[in-house]
Amino acid sequence: MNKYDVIVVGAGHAGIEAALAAARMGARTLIFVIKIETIGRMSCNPSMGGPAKGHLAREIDALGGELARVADITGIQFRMLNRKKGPAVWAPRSQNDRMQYSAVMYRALENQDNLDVIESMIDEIILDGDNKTVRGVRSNLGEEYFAPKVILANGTFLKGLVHIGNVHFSAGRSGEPASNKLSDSLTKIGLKLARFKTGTPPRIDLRTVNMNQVEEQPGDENPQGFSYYRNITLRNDMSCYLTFTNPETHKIINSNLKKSSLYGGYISGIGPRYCPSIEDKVVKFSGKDRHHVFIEPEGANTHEAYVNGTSNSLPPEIQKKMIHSISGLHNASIIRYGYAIEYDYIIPDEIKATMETKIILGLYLAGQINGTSGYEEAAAQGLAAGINAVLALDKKEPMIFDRSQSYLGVLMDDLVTKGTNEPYRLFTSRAEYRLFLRQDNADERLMPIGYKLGLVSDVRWQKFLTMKKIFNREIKYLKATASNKHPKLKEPMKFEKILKRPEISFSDLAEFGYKIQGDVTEDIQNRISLNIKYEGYIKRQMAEIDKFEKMEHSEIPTDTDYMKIESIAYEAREKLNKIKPTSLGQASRIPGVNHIDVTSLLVYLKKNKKKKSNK
Amino acid sequence: MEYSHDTISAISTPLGIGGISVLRVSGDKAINVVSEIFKSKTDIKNQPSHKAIFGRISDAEKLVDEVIVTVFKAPHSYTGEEVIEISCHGSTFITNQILQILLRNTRLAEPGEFTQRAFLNDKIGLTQAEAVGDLLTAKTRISHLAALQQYEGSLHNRIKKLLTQLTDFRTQLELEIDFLEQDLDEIDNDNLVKNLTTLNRELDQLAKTGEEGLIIKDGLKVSLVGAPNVGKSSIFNSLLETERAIVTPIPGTTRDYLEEVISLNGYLVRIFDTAGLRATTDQIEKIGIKRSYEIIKNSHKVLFIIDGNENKKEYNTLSKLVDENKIIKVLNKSDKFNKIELQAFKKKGYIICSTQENSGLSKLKNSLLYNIEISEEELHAGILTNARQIAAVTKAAKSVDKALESINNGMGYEFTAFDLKEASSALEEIIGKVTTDDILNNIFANFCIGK
Repeated sequence: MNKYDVIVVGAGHAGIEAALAAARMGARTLIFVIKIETIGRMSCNPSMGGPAKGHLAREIDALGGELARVADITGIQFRMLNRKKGPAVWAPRSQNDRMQYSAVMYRALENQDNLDVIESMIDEIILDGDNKTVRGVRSNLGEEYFAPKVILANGTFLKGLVHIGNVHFSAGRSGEPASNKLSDSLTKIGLKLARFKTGTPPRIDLRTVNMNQVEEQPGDENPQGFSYYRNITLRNDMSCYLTFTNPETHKIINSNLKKSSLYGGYISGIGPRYCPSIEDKVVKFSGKDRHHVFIEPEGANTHEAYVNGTSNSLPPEIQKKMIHSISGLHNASIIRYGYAIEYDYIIPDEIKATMETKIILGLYLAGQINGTSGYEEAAAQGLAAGINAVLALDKKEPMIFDRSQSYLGVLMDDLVTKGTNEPYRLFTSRAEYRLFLRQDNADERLMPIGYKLGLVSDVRWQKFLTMKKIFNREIKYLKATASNKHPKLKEPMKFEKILKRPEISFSDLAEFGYKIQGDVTEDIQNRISLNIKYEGYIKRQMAEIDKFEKMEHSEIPTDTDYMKIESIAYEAREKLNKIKPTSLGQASRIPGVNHIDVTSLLVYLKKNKKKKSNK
Repeated sequence: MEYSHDTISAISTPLGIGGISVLRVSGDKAINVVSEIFKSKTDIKNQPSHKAIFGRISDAEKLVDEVIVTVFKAPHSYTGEEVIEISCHGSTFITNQILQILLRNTRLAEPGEFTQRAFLNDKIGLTQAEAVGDLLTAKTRISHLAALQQYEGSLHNRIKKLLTQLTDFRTQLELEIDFLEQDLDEIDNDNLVKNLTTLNRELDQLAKTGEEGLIIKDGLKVSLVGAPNVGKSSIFNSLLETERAIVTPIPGTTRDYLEEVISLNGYLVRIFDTAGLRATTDQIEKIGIKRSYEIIKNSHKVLFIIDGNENKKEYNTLSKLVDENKIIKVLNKSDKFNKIELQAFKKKGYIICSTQENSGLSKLKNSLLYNIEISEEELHAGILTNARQIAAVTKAAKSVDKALESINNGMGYEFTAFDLKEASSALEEIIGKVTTDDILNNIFANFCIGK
């Protein structure tokens, strides 16, 4: 009765993708959520995407995940960031209707075959007699559920502690109960836990903003979403608003610093450096007399708005004063106060690249529980965990995402190889092969994998194949055919060469006698331009990827006892022993393992191999 | 057998009869192994590090040689392990006999293994490991100084400085790409271009030291070209006569050309007397001329020698083969011409000399080092001395070039960042931060056993 193939604990962005992927791949799946209404909640910004995160969202879509589709359906504004930079770092971003996002996600879970949803809090992991294999979970009501694969996606709920000024209370998010017992259960089974901190800003009533004192930021004229081949009509009719803090704001914060939980000494967890609280910004960057504040609407059917840039843990009366000092917000009424939250996460050297724990067979961890931050980062891990749990059930080869092929791979490899000492967020600069890992070609990179796994529908797959066919046809034509119909050309010139010129765009080719066929959509035109214009760079990037692949395929036997290799520095041996890299490439990326250690490892492996073959 | 745990030994001086020979033993057992066969007033086990002790080496009570033993205790030794150096009398027989005794309890070192251990034990960096090779083969004062500088890390520091600059630029670019929402100042494009241009100049300058570095290490190659009987051989000989000739490092194979090595102002100069470039039907001569072509092509300077007849045909062939500014035109037998005639040759750029009267030769010699000599200042700043380093710096310079191009074409900063990362990786290759199996294999294979 209570027996499943896969159990997922938590229905945030990670849990949803894990459960949907598992169910879609044919596994009988059960997902637990503490409160049904909070399925797929956007606990921070009502927004998806941005640099690297937008890339990730499109990759999740290409692999058959759900996040991008729902982001497109529930989007209220779309912008392509970094347009002024090159195409590799263009980054789609959306503002979303928070309530609608949750509702659509709930519907997706409800309508999914093979998937049950239960509202319940899970307190304990049940292991087999050997204490090395997972068997199931136990709820706070004492119910037991069994499955050979359990995926934990608890977000910030493990011993979550909310801080507002000198007030502190146990919660997983404001107003929702924390999961206090599960942490102890995880410690008991041998996993190492540590503590992080994050925060969120106040929300205000948009009707109380003085629109004359803020700068309106509308969406793009030609909005682009995240999802491929779904023809979702994008709603793009709401604006954000930009304003700034000022010396008065900073004075209020500075003179009340001791009252904030962070500076009052109540918080021990480590917060993200890339997303500092307003207290941190004012203290650490005291030279700046203003900081950006973005007012982001929370949805189409509410007046609530998110005050991006003012995350804090100050007492309510100070929060009010601070908000009211900001231009345009003098009369703003606060709907929810900002807060800081501390929570347990599991040190990511406990997991493998499949997201499975190293010590408990069948137990997978995904999302913020691994020390990451961000919806997209969480969803990516959930997807990988769901896929690998089912592959393991079916006794198939695991699906390891490689950092030269996707941001997903970068994220996964960073986590399991380098770990993290602050909530981990993806950046484009973390990707060595950034020029290849673009938001425009995520389908080309990953859709074949998604289709093979059974996560991409036939309809979408056919559309993808059609796109490829048209793309290849046109590239072939442009390379083979010359134009001789333009007064500027002294002699016939191949269309490909004409398009390579920086000042020529695809549509300019018409002047040179190239007939743009009806099926060459704007998307395909962009892909063609990009491939031709940046061909030199793409080729160089591919050469680097080849080199990388060689190191990645230089495998290290799983039974290697690093502690015995005395030519490697002792600290490096310990690191290697902890991470247990699968290839020399991965070994070389472990912090604290330097090139001399890698060389020694290489020499050792070669000698060992020779010794073995001599026997 | 553990990789760097066993004790190794080898003869460290070149084979052959010399005043003394040195054997080196490295590893945990070094002191024990030697104390078994070495008899002296004091036990070497109780000796402080870096002290030389006189005594005798015996094999089963039979005296082999009187020797000096020096103890270097770990980690204060070349390899970072326990090291013993034995200086014995320089006879092949004695040296080999001592090695045989040592090999009963130690393993014969592989080529370059001492240096490899020094590298693996973090005693020296990659540039330094290479410099050891250069230091050991240094033949002249300047090459010795260059190798020493590299060994002491001046090149390492010079590259590190360039890397720091690159890292700064890359940081700026990444900031702009990933943190656009942070209200940061935008990159000052003009300033970036200016700084990258300066960096590029520095890289070019460094790359250029490589040409000079190679000359310092392998010698300046000068070939002599001219028709028969213009006095090539007498110029060849007078260059040798006035300067100390050095025994050529190239084994005596059959050659169609003559090669001699001299030291000129501290530079190693290798002079080739070639068969010339004229056309011939003689089969054997043809082979000789083919070789001459090769030598001339690889020369840093070519002396084109005439004795009056300008020999335009051969000069044209030559100028197609090598860059014209490498050619030094020489008029020999100046005693045969009058002042006006000589003036005309001078105007055409000829150096006037006469081996017969021993005149004009010092001018000729100075012309060899023209544009070659490197300042001691540059030497101290660190120069490149092998092809691997030159290739890496040239690659870095090329990448910075591309970075500038990407900015000028308005490509987008991620492309500029890509180029600069490529430049960084190239430089990291030199100082051994990122290294590949192949590079290491090459480095260590180029060392002779025992060094």
